[in-house]
Amino acid sequence: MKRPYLLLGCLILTAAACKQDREIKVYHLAKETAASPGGAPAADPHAGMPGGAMPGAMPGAMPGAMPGAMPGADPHAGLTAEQLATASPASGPQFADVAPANWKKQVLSPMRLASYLVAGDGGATADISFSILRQAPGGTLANVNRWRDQLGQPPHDEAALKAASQTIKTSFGEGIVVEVEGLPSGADAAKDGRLIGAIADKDGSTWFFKMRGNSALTAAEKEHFIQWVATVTPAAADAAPAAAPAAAPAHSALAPPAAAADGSVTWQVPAGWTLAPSTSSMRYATLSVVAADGSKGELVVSHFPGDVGGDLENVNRWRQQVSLPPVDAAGLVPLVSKLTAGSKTLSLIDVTGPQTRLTAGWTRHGADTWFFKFTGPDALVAAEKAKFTAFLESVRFTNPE
Amino acid sequence: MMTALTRLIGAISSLRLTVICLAAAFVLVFAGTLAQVRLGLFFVQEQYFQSWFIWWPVGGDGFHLPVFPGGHLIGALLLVNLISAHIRRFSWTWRKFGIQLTHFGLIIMLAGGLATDLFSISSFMRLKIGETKNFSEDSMRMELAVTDTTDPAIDKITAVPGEVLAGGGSITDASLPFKIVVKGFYRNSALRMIGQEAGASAPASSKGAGARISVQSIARATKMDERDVMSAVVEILPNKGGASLGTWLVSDAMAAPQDFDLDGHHWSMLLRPMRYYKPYSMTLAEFTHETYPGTEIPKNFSSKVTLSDADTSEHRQVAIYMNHPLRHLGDTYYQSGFEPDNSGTVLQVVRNPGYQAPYIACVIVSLGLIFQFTYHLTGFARRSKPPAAR
Repeated sequence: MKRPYLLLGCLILTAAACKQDREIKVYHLAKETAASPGGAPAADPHAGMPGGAMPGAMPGAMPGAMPGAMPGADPHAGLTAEQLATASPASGPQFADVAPANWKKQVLSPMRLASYLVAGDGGATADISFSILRQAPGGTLANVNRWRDQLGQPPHDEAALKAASQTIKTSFGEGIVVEVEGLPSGADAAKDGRLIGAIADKDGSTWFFKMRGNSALTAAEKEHFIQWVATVTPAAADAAPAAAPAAAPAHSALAPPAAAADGSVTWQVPAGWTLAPSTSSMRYATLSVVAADGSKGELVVSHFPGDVGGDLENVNRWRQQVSLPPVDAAGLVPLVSKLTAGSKTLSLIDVTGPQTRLTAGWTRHGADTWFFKFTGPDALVAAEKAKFTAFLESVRFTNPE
Repeated sequence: MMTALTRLIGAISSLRLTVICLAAAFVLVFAGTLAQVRLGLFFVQEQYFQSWFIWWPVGGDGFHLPVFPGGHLIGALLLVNLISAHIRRFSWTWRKFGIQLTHFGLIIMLAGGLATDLFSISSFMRLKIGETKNFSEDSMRMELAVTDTTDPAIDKITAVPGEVLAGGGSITDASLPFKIVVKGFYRNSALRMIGQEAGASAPASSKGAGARISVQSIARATKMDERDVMSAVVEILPNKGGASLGTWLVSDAMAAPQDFDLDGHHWSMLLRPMRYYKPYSMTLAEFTHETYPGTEIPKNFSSKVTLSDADTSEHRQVAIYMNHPLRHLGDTYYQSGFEPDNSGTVLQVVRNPGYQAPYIACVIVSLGLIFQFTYHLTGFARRSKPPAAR
């Protein structure tokens, strides 16, 4: 009789001792965008001291308190604005993928980077999605168990997960594939009953691929799903320029961003061009130029690991962006010219579509390929081409490869 | 041996212990209520009710003596007392069933209360209209965010809780190529610019903004509309050895991060409210604030938010207003406040694994009492009938 009491007491004490406010946590998150007050240089001690930090001064209204009840400077007013940590089509990186012919594209929700629906016999459907969490809480096991819970299945432990999962090759490394079968109470068997999911980590982000739907249909589409996962790659450059967000990015200072993962890069900003807020965390920097007639051109600097599919694939994607047909390897050769920037040789292309002209330079540095893509109306690009060339010639990688 | 154990079990399950615990709880609530005047609500909650003992500093801040059981100890003792008495005196008869059910309900309530105290997390999410966030913040708890900002796309953040800084010493983590040595910790502090404000003399640190700022420890904030301004002076020592990189001042009062470079990586340090990241995001689509006509007194305020969860494919709009919280993945969002210019909302985010315990407990206690009352009433009615009527 006595042991349960002692055990209970020990459990309570242990629970108290393990209170989680002493745990050091590590996160990998997309960079935060800079709000103007917080963007002040750290070297200026005044910048970070709103209200003069008077002794005993209330540093800020307590969250949740009624407004007006607690006036005072908020020391966090100067903190950078938070960027959505989960990638979204509007603000996140762009991706390319090749889906099977029988998968139909769906309208993207903000959290999805790719979304398909596949239909089978008797009204059976399966929903396929690709999304990224910059910081996936709980790790792989927790995420798999969340999937299992969605289908009413008990959680796995690490050993069970290892036994039930298989590895999968993706364009960015190895991941795991898991399969969960079960029909939650009240669910429609035509649309639910099986989930096949793949999880992979890349640069601190967790990539989720999920197919969930009718059990038989989902099982039949498994091979397609695994093949599709392998085709998902980051696009080398962004799609057509989108509206600039309200908040400036971390790189919006009037100087090039200071450092990259594999080396610093500097350049001379052409006269009349300005650094603009980037619309994607995958952009290293964005410069814009406005012509006298109000038309706008945009130069996007980005870099990605590896060769991002190779020159032919990149050029054809850019041609597609300006509504031109793709070329083959032989057709690519006369389109590409070379340019020297310091010790680097950049490849150059200039393509003009019905409405948009795109000229881009790219080069390898370290493990990355760097892209400098300038787009705009033909007249503007033609007028600014010399400045763009001068810009490319001024590019210098200050860190060794 | 057995006699001693039997006595111990007897004492644990005795009604005397129940009475002592209840009396101690009365004293604790009374003393805690009085202490709020001097120490403030948050401090009293932490020191009196969410603690195992109330500690008395003997001669200042050094040695502490436990002088009275705290809320956790009294609650835990009551719980153990109730469970042991329940088991010891348990006998399966209809006559006692209602009482046993009632006690079982009380056990659930006590256990739920303790679980809430130990494991619930309350934080706040402030959202401007159109803004999206995937984390909430607790401004009563701080963390030192040490960030490797070298990667142009990803920030690698190591969040060291303020309580770890308070413990002093050397802080290491596998994610950091250096040690953080706490050279000074200030639970509540005042910062003054050297050469510009009276009383500002010695610089707080050798590097960063702290080289031009003096920091002083001041009394803890006790008013409801104040909170402590935590500050710390930390030294950075590379793990590979070599000279110290210097000392930096980090403070809740400083919005700008403190930067340094080590081995080609750029690091920044910022003392900020503790963050709780979510596997989903919330966007404030609309905020409504109604006042009573002719006054500034709030009548109703509500937030229309868009919840996006890639994992569950959810993307829906939800209205959060008084008595109408949003529950998602164990988090409950309550409408709590709003920005002074109505430009945004403040949502209280509560994660409480034991939130259902009071409801379940109340139902069980009610059923137990109803059963017991009905059982006795019918027995009494039977006994009170005149013999002729039988």
